[in-house]
Amino acid sequence: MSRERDVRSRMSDDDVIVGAMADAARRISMEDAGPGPTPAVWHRLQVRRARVSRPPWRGLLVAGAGVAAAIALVMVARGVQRGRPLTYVVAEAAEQDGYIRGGEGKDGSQVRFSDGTHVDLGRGARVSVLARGPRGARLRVEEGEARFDVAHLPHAAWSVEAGPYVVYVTGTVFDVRWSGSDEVIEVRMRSGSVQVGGPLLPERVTLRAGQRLRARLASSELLIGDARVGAASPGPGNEEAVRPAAAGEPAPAPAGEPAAVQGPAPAPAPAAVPAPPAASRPAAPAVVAPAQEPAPARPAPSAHRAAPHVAQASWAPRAWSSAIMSGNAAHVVAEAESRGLDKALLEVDSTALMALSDAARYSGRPEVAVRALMAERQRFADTAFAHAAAFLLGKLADDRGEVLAGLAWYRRYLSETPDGPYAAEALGRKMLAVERISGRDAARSIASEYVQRFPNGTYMLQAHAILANPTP
Amino acid sequence: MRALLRKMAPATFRVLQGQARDADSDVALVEALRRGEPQAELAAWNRFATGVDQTLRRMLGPGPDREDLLQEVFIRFYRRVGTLREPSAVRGFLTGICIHVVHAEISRRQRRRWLSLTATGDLPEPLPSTPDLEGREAVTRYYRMIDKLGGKDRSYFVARTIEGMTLDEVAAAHDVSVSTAQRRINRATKRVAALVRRDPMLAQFAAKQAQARERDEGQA
Repeated sequence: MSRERDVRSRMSDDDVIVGAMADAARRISMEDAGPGPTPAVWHRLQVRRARVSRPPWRGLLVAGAGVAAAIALVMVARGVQRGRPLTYVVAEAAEQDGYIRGGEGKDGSQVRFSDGTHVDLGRGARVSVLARGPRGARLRVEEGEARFDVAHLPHAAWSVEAGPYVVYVTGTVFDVRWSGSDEVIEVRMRSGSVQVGGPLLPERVTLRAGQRLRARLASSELLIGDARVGAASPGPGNEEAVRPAAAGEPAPAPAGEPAAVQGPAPAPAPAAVPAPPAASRPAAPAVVAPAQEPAPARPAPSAHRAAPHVAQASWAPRAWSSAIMSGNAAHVVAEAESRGLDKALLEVDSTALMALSDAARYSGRPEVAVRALMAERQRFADTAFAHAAAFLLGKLADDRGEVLAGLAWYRRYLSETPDGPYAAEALGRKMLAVERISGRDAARSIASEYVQRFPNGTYMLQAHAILANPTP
Repeated sequence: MRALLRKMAPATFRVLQGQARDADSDVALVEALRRGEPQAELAAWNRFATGVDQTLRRMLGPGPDREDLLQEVFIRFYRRVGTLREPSAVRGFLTGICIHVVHAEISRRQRRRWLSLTATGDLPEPLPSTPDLEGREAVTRYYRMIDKLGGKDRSYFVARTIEGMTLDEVAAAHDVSVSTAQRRINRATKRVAALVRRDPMLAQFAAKQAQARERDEGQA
C-alpha cells in the first residue's frame, strides 16, 4: 500500500499517467482483437467497393448533374426575371382607348418604365405602347410631341413609330413630333444617337446628338440639320444650311490629296439624262466624275438657300419603294424599262428615282443605277436625295475599281453636305481612296479628321492604322 | 507481458482466393498494386488487414467491431496507393489513412452525441467476456475522456500515445509541421492527465498501471 502511495506521489508527471493508460488501452485492444478480420469482411469489402467504385464517375455525374441543375435553376429564375416584359406607370396623364394622352397642363405627363426609361408627353400628345418586351418596348407617337429618355442598358431594344417612320434607339434622349394631318415628322436629338427609317430615306439614317430630322411627306421634303437651329420653331427657314455645289463645279482637292479627275468644262445641260444606245448596254458602266456631271436642268439655288425644291413629276410611282422592300427590285427596273427608261428618268419624281436607283443596284443593273442617280442630281439638284446620289455614285464607282471617280464623288458629297447622313461613310471611303492613290502620308489628315469626327465609325481601325503607320 | 500477449494472439484469418499470394515485401506488394495486378489487392488485405484492424481498435477504444471503418481504410488505400511516394512507408501510409478515418468517425460520434442518441453515439456495449473487468472499464472511461478533446487533438494524442507514432510520423500523417504536432500533443496530454487525476477510479487505475509498468521494466 505504501508502495502504491509512492507511485501515486510520482504521478505528477503527465506523461506517466498518459503512458500508463496507453499501455492499458493497447492491452485491452489486443485482447479484443481476436483473430482479425474474417474472410467474410473481405468479401463484403468487395461488394462495397463494387458499389462505391462507381462513385468516382457516379459521384461526379451526380455532383455535375446537381451543379447543372442548380445553374439551370438560377438561369431559369434569371431568365424568368429577365424575360418579364417591362412594366410602366403613367403619371399625370390619362390612359384611354389604347393610348396615353398627355395632360392639357404645361407639363408633368409622364410614362415611366421599369428599366428607368421615361417618356415625357407634350401638351395634348398621344402615345401608344404597342408592345413591351424584357429589354424595351415599341411605342408610337399618334399625335403631338414627346420626349424619350431611354435608359442606356445592354441589348436595349426600343423603337418609336411616328406615322410611317420608325426611330430605332438603344439608349438616348430625343424628341419626336408627329403631325398626322400634315404628315410631318420631326426628330430632335438631345444625346446619344438613333436610326430613323421610313419614306424619303433610301436607308436608315443615323442621327447624332444635336441633329434634327424633319420630313414632310406631302411635299417629299426631307431635311437633316442642326437641332439647335430653329429648335423652338422649326421651319423651312431654319433648315440645314447646305452649300450645294454647282453640278459642274469640281470639289476642291485639299493640299496633299490627289486632284479629282478634271474633266472638261461641263457641257450645256442636256434636256434629259442621255441614255446609252439601247443595244449597247454597258457591261461595266463607267461612272462619270462630278466634273463631267451634266448641269442640272434648273439653275442651281443660291449657296444658302434653305428649303430644297422638288421638281414636278408627271409620274410618281409610289409603289416602287414598297416593291423594293418586298424584294421585288427587278420588278421595279422592269416596269421602268417597260415604260421606257429615258422617259422614266425624265418623268418620275425624286423619291421614285432613288427607288429606281436602289432597285437597279439590288438587281445587278449598275448602269441603270448610275443613270437614275445622275438624273436625280440633274433634275433635283440641291435636295437631300441629290446629295445622297453623289455619295452613291462614288460608291458605285469605287466598288467597280474606279477609285479616282469615286474619290471625286465623295469629295463632292462632303462638300455639299459635310454632316449629311453618309458623311462618315464618305469620309472613310475618301480616306481609303486617297491612301490607295497617293499613299498613307497623304491620307493622314483625312484619317485624323475621321478619328476626330467619328470616333466610333466603321473605318476607325483603318484610320488608326494610317495614323500609326504612315509609311506602309 | 507483451511477449505473453503475442503468444496468446490467435492466428489471423487469411483469404485464399484464386491465385492470391503474398508478395515478398511491402515494397513489392505496393509495386504490384500500382501495376494493377489482379491479386495484389487481396495480398495487401491478407498482409495489412489485421494490423489496420488493431490500429483502429487502439484509436477508437473498446467497442463493437468497426468493420465499416476497416473497409473504409482499405477503400481509401486502394484508391490512393498510386500517390504513395515511398513504397517502403506503406504501413505509415495506412496508419495515416486510419487517423483520418477515425477522425471522421469521432466527428460523427460527436454529432450523434449532440443529437442525444447515446453517450458515445454507439449502441450500448455488450458485456465483455474477458476477466479483466476493471481494466476494461478503466480503458473505456479513458477513451470517453479523450473523446472530449475534440476531433483534431484527439487524433494527434492517440496517434502519439496509444499508436506510438513518432512526432515526425504524427506530423506527416496530419500534414502539419512537427512543432504544430508537438504543441497539440502537449496540450492534449496536459488536459488528459488533469482529467485522469480528477477521476478517482482512473487515477487509482493509472497508478496501478504505472506500478506494473515499473515492475515489468525492472524485470526486463
